[in-house]
Amino acid sequence: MKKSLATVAVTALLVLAGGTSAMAAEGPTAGAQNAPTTTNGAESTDGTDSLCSGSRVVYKSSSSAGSFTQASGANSSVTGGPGVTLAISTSTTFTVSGSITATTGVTVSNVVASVKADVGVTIGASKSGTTTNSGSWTVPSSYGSGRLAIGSMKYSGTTTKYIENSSCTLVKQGSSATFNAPQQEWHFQTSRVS
Amino acid sequence: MATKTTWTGAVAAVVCLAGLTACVGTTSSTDPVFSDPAPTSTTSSPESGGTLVDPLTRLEDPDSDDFIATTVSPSLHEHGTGGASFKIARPDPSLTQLRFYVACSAGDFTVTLGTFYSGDCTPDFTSSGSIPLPSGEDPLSVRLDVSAGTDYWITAIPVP
Repeated sequence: MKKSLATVAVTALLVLAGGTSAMAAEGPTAGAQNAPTTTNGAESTDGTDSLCSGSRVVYKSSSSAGSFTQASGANSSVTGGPGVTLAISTSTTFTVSGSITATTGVTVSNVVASVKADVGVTIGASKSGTTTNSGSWTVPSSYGSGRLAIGSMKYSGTTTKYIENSSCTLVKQGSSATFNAPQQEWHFQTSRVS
Repeated sequence: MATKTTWTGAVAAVVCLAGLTACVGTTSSTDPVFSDPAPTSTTSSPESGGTLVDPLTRLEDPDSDDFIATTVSPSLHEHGTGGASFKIARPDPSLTQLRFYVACSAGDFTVTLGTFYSGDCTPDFTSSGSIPLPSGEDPLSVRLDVSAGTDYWITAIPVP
């Protein structure tokens, strides 16, 4: 019964916190990071259940949907008329800047790992480099003109540190870290200009 | 490819030093046809464009991601200052497009051949635009628009 109550409590906390279930964890039970509502199941010497170790650290991220952000600098986009095939050089270095603001309890590495676990993308404070793909695109004949741009999907949100207590309840620790950071891969956006 | 750029610059300098011909529309030895430059076009040595890079240097550099071949035969390969118009021979019928590469010193550029390809100026090209050849026209009329006083390199490679 105690187990069931604890499970319900942790589940409710997760729902209130944003609804994603994947978590980045550290500490002795980090291997169980995707099962925050389960118990350790160990029997204590006095005969009572020891539900959780009480020391597991969990980081949880919530994020907005990614939005395309064009790379800075000249010629991160090109325009052409109908039938023109536009391509961006694979030799050119482009940059999309962003930020990850750590707190006392949440490092940049914690944020990156947590976002990867919860959102499924790898972010960084900025994205810079060349692309292996030219993004070649032919402007449709139905367009007056079209535009090809290179950039990255940008995600913003927060990462919060929790400690799972012996009742398997996640207790928030300190303030959340914030991020507004690009995914670590290039994207191309095509659009109709006229 | 730096050698090639230097050689081209030297040729341009010799032509200009002769002083008897207009220093307009100097072509490299690989250009099959070039004629009728715009009156507003004046050539300058590649060095006058600051760090402008001849697109052909990367297209012929096996170490470049933009490598095409060690020897490329462009339909158009020019450097100059300000907007210009070019007449180029229609390539073999199997080649249906011209792929343009432009490097320029400031502002933006627009290449027009029936339709257009446009982008921001960068000293080393950062994009390309392949324009389908308009039917009927021979020679082809290509227009490059850049701001007055802007140095440029323009290269066009015929492609299937």
